[in-house]
Amino acid sequence: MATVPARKPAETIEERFDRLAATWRSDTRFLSSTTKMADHPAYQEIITMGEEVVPFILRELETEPDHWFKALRAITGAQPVEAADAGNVPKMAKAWLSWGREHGYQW
Amino acid sequence: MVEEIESIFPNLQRSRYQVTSPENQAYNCVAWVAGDTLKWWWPDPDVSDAYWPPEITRNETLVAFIELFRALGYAPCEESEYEPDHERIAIFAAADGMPTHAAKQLSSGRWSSQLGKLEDIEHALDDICGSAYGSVVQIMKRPTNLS
Repeated sequence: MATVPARKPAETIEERFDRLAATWRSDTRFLSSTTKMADHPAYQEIITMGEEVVPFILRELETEPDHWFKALRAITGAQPVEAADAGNVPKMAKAWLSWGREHGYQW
Repeated sequence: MVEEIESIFPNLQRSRYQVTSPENQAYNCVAWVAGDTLKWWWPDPDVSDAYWPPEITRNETLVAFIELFRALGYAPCEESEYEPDHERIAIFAAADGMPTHAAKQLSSGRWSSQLGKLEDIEHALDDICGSAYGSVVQIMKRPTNLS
C-alpha cells in the first residue's frame, strides 16, 4: 500500500515526524482496522524515533484525536487508558494528554 | 472530500453515491453498523486500543465478525436484496480473508458505510469493492423488529 517518502538530509525531528504523520494519516484514512493502521511503515518509523517524538504525538492527539495509542504505548510503556474507555477515541486521547502533562511533557 | 473518496474507491466515480456525514475519528464502520457512534469497534488483540464486546472472540477473522453480528441478532444469508421485514449487513474482506469493512442496508435498499475516518456514504454494495476493502464475503440479516 504505502511507501514512505525519502528523508530529507537536513530534516529536524519535528519535520520528520510531521512528514511521517501526514503520510500515515493520508494512507490509512479509509481503514477500520487499528492493527493495519499501526502496521503502516510510517507509523512504525515514528515508533523507532523513540521518546523524542512523544510531544509531537501528544500535540497531534490534542488537535485531532487519532489512533496514536499503540505508538505511545510502544515508546513509553505506559497505559493510562481506563479499560472502560477502550475504543472511545476522545477519552483515550484525553487520558494520554493528562498522562503527558503529569510526566512533564510540553507540546 | 469527494475526490479523496473516489480515488480510494474508484467504482464510486461511476456511481450515484451520496456523502451523508462529515469525516469523523470517533466511530468506524463496525460501530456504525452496530448502532454506536461513540466508539471504534475492532477485534484488536490489544484490548485497550479498540472496543469489542468482551463475550465475542477477539481476533481479526470472518468467524469473529459473524459471531459479533449473530450476537446482535443477525443470521447469515445469501441474498443482498432488500426485504421490508428484514435488515441486512454486509461484511467485506481482503483476499487474505481478513475483514476490512462492514456496511448496513437502508430501507431504500441501498447501503450505508462509514469509510474509516472519512465520511459516511450511501452507496450500492459493489461501489466500495476493490483494492481498499476487497469484496463482500458475508451477508447477514435480522428481522426489523429486533433493531
